[in-house]
Order: sequence, then structure tokens, then C-alpha cells
Amino acid sequence: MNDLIVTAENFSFSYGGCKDFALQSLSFSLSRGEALGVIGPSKAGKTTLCLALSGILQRFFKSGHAEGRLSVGGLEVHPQNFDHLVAITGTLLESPFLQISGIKLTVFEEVALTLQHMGIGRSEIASRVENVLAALKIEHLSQRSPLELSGGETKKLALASALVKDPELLVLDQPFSQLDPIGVQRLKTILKRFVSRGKALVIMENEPEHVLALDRVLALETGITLAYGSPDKVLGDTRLIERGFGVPLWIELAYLVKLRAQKNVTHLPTRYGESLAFLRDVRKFWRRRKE
Amino acid sequence: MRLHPATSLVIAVSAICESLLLDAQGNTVLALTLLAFLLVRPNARIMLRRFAVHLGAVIFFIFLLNSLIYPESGSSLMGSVGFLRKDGIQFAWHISARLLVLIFSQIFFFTSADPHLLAEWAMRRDFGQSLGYVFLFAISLLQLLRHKLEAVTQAQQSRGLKVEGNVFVRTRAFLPIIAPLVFSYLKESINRSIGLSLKGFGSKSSYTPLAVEEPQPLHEKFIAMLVISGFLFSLALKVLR
Repeated sequence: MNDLIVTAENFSFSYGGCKDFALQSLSFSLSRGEALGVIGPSKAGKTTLCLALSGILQRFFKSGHAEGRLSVGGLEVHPQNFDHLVAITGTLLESPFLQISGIKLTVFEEVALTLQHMGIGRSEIASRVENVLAALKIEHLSQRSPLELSGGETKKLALASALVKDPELLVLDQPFSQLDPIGVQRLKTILKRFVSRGKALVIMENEPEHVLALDRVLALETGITLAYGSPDKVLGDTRLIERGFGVPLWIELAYLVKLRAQKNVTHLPTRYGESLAFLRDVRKFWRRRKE
Repeated sequence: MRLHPATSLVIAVSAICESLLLDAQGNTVLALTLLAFLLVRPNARIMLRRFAVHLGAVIFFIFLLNSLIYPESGSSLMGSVGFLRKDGIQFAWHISARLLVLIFSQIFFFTSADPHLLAEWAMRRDFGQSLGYVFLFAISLLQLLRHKLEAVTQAQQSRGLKVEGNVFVRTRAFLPIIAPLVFSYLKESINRSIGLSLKGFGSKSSYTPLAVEEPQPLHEKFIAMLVISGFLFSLALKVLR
């Protein structure tokens, strides 16, 4: 069995009526059991990539223009393969409220809707929905109306709808926004378990801190790849700070200290421990100099 | 007690079709019969109370306008104007009774069967997923708009707009909100269809209904047959006359 689940080769996309490409010559791959983080400021193309991976872009934005190759689960992302894509991918959009169908009376029914469309048996639907609600700790919302939830609860509901399918590939657009710190940690644990079961994960994030623990990171800027590789390689790239990517504070601090010490800084320590050790060394150095 | 969706649908649709065949007296009897059915149901009573004032106002204006102006064939505009014109009142009575049958049948339909079960019942019979969703979405639309309206109102209130007070103040506050609200909702429809597609809507896989389908009880089948027969009898009488 081929382990590759996503392959992008020079993939570009421009929306209809737009001269500029929203995504330009993207090349990356993702295997089963791997997690990819996509970071970048606003208008970097994260949402467009999320829509492309779930097949939405090619189905709903037909006036757009695509170049290169993008395949998911061994099949080209194409409107004809949309059913296959929906079956193997779980997607969380940036605005979870728009993922609520508006036709179901309870949270339980809303989560079950995805499985109903997949033709899964009634008893299995019930057990899978109960399990996913319990995993996200929202089982107490089971009989509440989806329209009466808070922002964070709506996000968890949309996540539950994506996870309940037990997809091969999970594509999440800013999954940690609107969640409280406990919710963020709980979701990270769920996602870690998901990947350890041989599934693939793509997370689009505004805050690079959330992608530090992933296998690979793709940094985008206006649809172009700025850096791609391991989190240490990408987040340690000084261009990210210079272009306002909002890297964690300890990396930025290390950058400022290094910048004062030497002019040509190209790479920084990315792990908290590493940065702390680095800053301790700097302090020792300054103390020695004073003495 | 809830009726089977099929029974509810047959009764409501037959009543609406029947009202098109009947005269003023017939429509009045039909409206009163439906009203009697509605009054014994608590949820229907709530809905009736909600509509009563608006319905009363509409019927009042139908009577008022038709009793003052009723154009006869060949008469001039001035010749149509009068005071408490008998033919105008007769026409208003017919129209009002028909309107009441239409409204009461719909209230009966929405309160006697669970609309969600009805949609699933329709989907099971291959009426198409889209039809079921359009039906359910139409029911949920008001609720969705109400939520959005609350959010917009709160946002406007935080900007200092006066949204509470007498009817005049509230109307003045809501009028500029309504149009953008509806338009933004229409704009969101593409995103909502994306959301539904991600949930597999429109896929070729078979749809699994959540509720176990209850067969239509025998007595309800009998009632439905009786209602259909009644309608066919009226239709035959109308054609033969």
C-alpha cells in the first residue's frame, strides 16, 4: 500500500476574476502517520489550501484556474472524485458556524448527519457519535440545539463532525482558535492519537507555536512557499520573524539577542529548552564581560 | 398525540385543494372543522395565538376594502365605490374563509407531525435529499435569522444605537438592519452549501434515517382514505355541475 496520502507538485490556483495566484507552485507530500502544519499570515493561502485538499475549491470555484498536480488518497483532486474525497477526508473550516447544517435539532443529530450520508448503520452511527462527543468532552451538549452553542462549543461540534467519519486525512483550518487552554491541550492529545493510528493530519495555523510538535511545517506567504521542512528548520528561519509570522516569544527573544551579538543571523533555537539554555549562555557571557 | 407524517400531509393537502372547490359556506365549515382540531392540540393553540392578531388584521382589511370598493363587470371606478356593499362582503367572506383554511391546514400540518420525521419519510421514499433539505431548511430559516438578528442587534446596541423602547423606536432601529441581514444570509448560503457538501450531502451513498420508521397505523390509513374520498367526491360534484 502506498503510504503517501497527499502529493502536491507545482500546484497553483487562482480564483476566477483574479490575476494573482492564491497558491503558487506548491510542492509537498504527506504520508500516513504524519502531521503537516501550514503557517502564514492572513492572505497567505492557508484557507485556499484547506479547500483544495478537501476538494471544495475544484467543485465550488469552477471559474478558478488550477495548474500542476494535487492528489489526495491516490486520486487527483477533481470534481469527479469529490465523493471519494469527502469519504476519506474530514475538514474543519475557519468559521465553524457555517458548518452547521441548520436542519438538525440537536448536536447528536448534527454530528450523525455526516454518517447518515455515508450509509452507515443506525447502531454504529449512535456508538460513533457518542464516542466522538465523549472524546471532545461535549457529551453534555448532545441534546442541545446546535444554534444555541457558544463559539468554542460550535468549534468542537464542527470538529466532532469531521472526526466522526474517522477519515484517512484530517484537514483543520485554525482548530485551536476559540478554544480555552484546556480545550487546546485536549484537542492536541486527540490529534496526536489520531496520527499515531496511521492517519494523516494537516493543520492551518496563524500561530506557529501550535505546529512545533508536528512532523513538518510549510510556511506560506501570499501563496508562495517561504520555507518547508522540519519545525526546527522552518521556525528557526529568521525570515519568519522579519516578515511578522508571530513566532513564539522565546524564539523572537533569541533572535533579538543574536541580532545584537552578530549581524548575520540565519537560524535560531526553536525549542523552549534550547532557547532558555542559549539565553543563559548570553547572560553568563555578559556577566563575565562586566567582571 | 402526533400523527404519522403521511396522514398529516394527506389531510393538509386535501383541505387546501378542497378549499379551491368549495364556496364561502363550504370553506367556512371546513375552516371551523380545522379550527376545532387545532384547538384540542396544545402546540397548535400556541401557534394560533401567535398568528391570531395578524390574521385578524388581514381579515379585517379584506372585509373593509371589499365592502367599500367592489368592482362589478362593466362598472366605472366611481361605480365600484360604496358603503357596506353586499356583493363585496360576500366576496370578502369567501376569500377570508379560504385564507383561514390555508392557514389552519398549514398549522395543522406543522403541529400534528414532526417535520423532521416527515422530511426523513420523504427521503426514504426517494423524493430526493434536496427536497427534504429545502423543506427542513425553510422551517429552520426563521430560527437561523432570529439568531443572526440577535447578534446584529447586540453589535448595533454596543455602538450606541437605541434598539429598545416602544414599537416606533424598535421599528426605526430594525429597518436598516433587516436588508443587510437578509443579504448577508444569502451570501452565506454558498458557505452553508460547502458545509453540507463536507458532510457528504449529495453523495451517491444511501442515506440512513436516524429514526426507526413507524408504519402508518390502520386507523390513520382509514382516515386518510376517507379524506381523499371526500375530496374526490367534491371534485366529481364540481365537474358534474
